[in-house]
Amino acid sequence: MGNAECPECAGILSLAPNTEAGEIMSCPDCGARLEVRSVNPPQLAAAPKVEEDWGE
Amino acid sequence: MLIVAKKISIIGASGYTGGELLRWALMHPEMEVFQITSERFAGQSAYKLNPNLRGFTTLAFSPVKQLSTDVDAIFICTPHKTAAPYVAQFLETGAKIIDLSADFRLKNKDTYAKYYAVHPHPELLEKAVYGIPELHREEIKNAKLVACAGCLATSVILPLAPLIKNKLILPEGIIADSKIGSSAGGAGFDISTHHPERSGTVRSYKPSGHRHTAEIEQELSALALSQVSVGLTPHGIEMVRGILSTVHARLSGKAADIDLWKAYRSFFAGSPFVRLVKDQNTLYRYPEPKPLVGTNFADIGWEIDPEKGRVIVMSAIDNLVKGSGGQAIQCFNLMNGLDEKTGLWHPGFHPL
Repeated sequence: MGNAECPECAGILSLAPNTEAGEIMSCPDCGARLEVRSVNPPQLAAAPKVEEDWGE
Repeated sequence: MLIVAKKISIIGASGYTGGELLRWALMHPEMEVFQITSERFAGQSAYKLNPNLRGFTTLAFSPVKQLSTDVDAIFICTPHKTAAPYVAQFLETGAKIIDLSADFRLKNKDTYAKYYAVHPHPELLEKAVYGIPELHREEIKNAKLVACAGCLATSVILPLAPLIKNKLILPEGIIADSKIGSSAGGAGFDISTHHPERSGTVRSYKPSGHRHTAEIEQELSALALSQVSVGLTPHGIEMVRGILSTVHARLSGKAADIDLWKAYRSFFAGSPFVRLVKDQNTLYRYPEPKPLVGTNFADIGWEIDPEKGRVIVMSAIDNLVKGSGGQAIQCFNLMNGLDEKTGLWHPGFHPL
């Protein structure tokens, strides 16, 4: 599928062929949690932090 | 292809540095340890002092006057001032010399005199290449004499080099606070190393003016092309092997983490023994000496403090490996056209 750059440390991640948009992965260098924003072209962004949701 | 092992000898092999070097040399696929010397322990088997080597060698220590110069390389593991005459004596024999003492690390004889003593062979200072492969790889490949870096110096120079070279930090006001294991004091002993006096201590033993300051400033100033000032304060702690240096420096601008990642990756590209450890997703978020025991790795991490405009850099090594014996083998590999990982590629232990 190709390589994508970690937005936190500029490390290069290799995306597996079956990767889908929305998947969460960790950067092997800096450990950042990343979300696959796009597979074509491969693009990563910092994954949203887990937030409390006390919706009524 | 037939590989002929290089014959090597070790002068001053009875200390901790010599013993560690011997361990690596005995396991090296392209080295044959020919002789080891010690005046004090002449005639004794090496494994009597290094119990881990029992079954690996039957070599006994010889006095240095019995040293054959018919070898490919001579490692010198004697203290400073003792090593220089050996270097002068053996440099013209054709053997490559790897000196683990401080005698040929400094380029300036006046600086050597300030930190050590009047140099007995200042005419040879220019012939030596400073032995940190990550800084001087190409020069080491062609060197006849390599002066291996000091252990504390290695742990401070490596993490600062990319930041200094890329002018990411200011060249003055840099403070290195190092914690170091007792083996760095060598195999000699006195009342300060007596167990009831040493055990459990956190001891500041040279808050300013430590000798390794000279080589740290020499190497970093060469990278910066201007004078770099570093204060080094080591502490002896309850640990046998290892160094953790925490270095504080002022950022020269508004650098972000990603800028430092790029600077470190670029500087250490092709340096297999330097690992960047800044991982938000593990217990081992920053470098620690313990997982490095018995390995030739230097682990480097950092944290930017944007509020204070500073960076805190952490660097861990095993003082007896990347800080001396392992780094000497790494230099030997380069001097002999070998892959620098040869005989050194070992992951250490976990847990330990």
